[in-house]
Amino acid sequence: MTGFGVEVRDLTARYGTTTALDAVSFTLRPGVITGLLGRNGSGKTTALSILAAFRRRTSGTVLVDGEDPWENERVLAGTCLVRESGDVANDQKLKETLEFLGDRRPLFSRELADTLMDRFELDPLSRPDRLSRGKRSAFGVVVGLASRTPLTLLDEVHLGMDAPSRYAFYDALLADWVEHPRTIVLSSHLIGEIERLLEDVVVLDRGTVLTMSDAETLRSGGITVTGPAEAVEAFVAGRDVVARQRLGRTAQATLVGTRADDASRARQTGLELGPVALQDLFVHLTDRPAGATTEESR
Amino acid sequence: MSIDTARLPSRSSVRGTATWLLWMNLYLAAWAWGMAIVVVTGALVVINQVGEVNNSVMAFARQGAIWFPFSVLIAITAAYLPVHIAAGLTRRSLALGSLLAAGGLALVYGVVFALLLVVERAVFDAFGWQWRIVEGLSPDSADVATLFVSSTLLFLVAYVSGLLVGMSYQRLGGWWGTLALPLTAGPILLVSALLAQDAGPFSTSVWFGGDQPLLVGSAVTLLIAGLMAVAFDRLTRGASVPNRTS
Repeated sequence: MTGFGVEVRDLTARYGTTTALDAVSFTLRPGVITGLLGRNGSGKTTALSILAAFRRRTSGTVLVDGEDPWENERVLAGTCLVRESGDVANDQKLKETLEFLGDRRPLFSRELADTLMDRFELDPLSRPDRLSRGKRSAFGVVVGLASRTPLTLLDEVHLGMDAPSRYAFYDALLADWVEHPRTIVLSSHLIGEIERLLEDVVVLDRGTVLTMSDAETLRSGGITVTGPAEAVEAFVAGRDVVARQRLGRTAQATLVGTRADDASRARQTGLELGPVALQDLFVHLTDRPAGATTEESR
Repeated sequence: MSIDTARLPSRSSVRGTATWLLWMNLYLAAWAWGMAIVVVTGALVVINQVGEVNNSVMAFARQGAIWFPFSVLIAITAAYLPVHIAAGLTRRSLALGSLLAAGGLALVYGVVFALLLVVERAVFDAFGWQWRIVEGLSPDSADVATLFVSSTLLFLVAYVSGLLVGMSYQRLGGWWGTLALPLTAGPILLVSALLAQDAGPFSTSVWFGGDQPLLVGSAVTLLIAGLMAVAFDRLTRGASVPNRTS
């Protein structure tokens, strides 16, 4: 086994009269990078907060590595949640925070932390409250990866980071995960950027699980069709199209749902079939009718 | 290499938390006492120039030694909870570590306060000034040993109160946190009066009987500190980490 597995059954979390999670059930396979996707207010942060024992659940069962994480010294020592705002002492130098974590996190790698500090151009003598949002996020990444916890939960840690920094983060995450496999949950709105990292996907919507699957199975639930615009339109006629792109005479359409004769029809009409982008599927799955309301903060 | 299981923290998280919080507060204490020495010295020079020095000035620093760490501990309780939990530590270790740090801090403040009183009395003697304590919350005849015991106990209640006030606001919110102040911060005033022995508003000899007012006051103070510590522990163990925005 590598990393902590997670089992969540009928998890409900309420803030006053607001239900953030409504009888949610899902599992996270140990040693796998899972994407936790959902629109604003879908309950992602609440779910991650409960897994890391940042807050109590209202009802339901949460097992991390087979045990309830609440006040569980072993499970907490092996779980790291990094939220977008970071949870480090704002008035301490970054190097002091790394020393603090090195003393407390059993698997903390100071070597990896220093490498990442250099890569993200973070000054160890600086303080979090004097960093830009992007740099603060980068420091959150340093903390999350260097802690090397068996369950690492990264909640929108990339916010404010520029594109080169984000891609450096993705590369660092993948490289360290290959060398030190562990369970990682990535919550992000930048699905197009992270989908190459994801093996499993859990999609939350309005406090419920919309879908839970490995990414390949999810992607195989749809196809992209590329070719001459007229042929593409004929191919997709009457089907569930979730995205369209057109460049001159060439068009691409993303379909949800497949048919047995798709491949033969595509060959006959000179069209190319490809995998569907998670981003398009996500938009389709979480699309709401006009006028539907969402709760912005869960 | 793979990560098979999480290991427990390599050292006691209670001790680590207490040590970290204590060092952070001792750093601030060094500044606070340094400033107190400067202010007291300046005050003595001025008083000597315009009148007659016949009271301990350092004795008034006790108020600062009560309320400054009290305020710091309120702020630390609010700010440190997310840091502690995010570092993979339990609320239990936070509660016990904070209480140990508060106890250690009270002892340090008590010792420093007593030592400075001794030094001040030596200075008074050297200049031929009369040294006595007239700050309204100590018996006129109080010696340094009595002041050490009563001050340390008072500091202990004040610092546990700081933790409790901070956690009350964290758990109960602004309105209920404020309404709870008579219970969470009120004991500081109660214990101040109690430890003033028969010089304060409570005559411990009359209220509790006996001829050992310090002993009675100390016992009641420790009981109050214990109850506050239990309340802080209970509140901390159920605390959620609040959402923060950057």
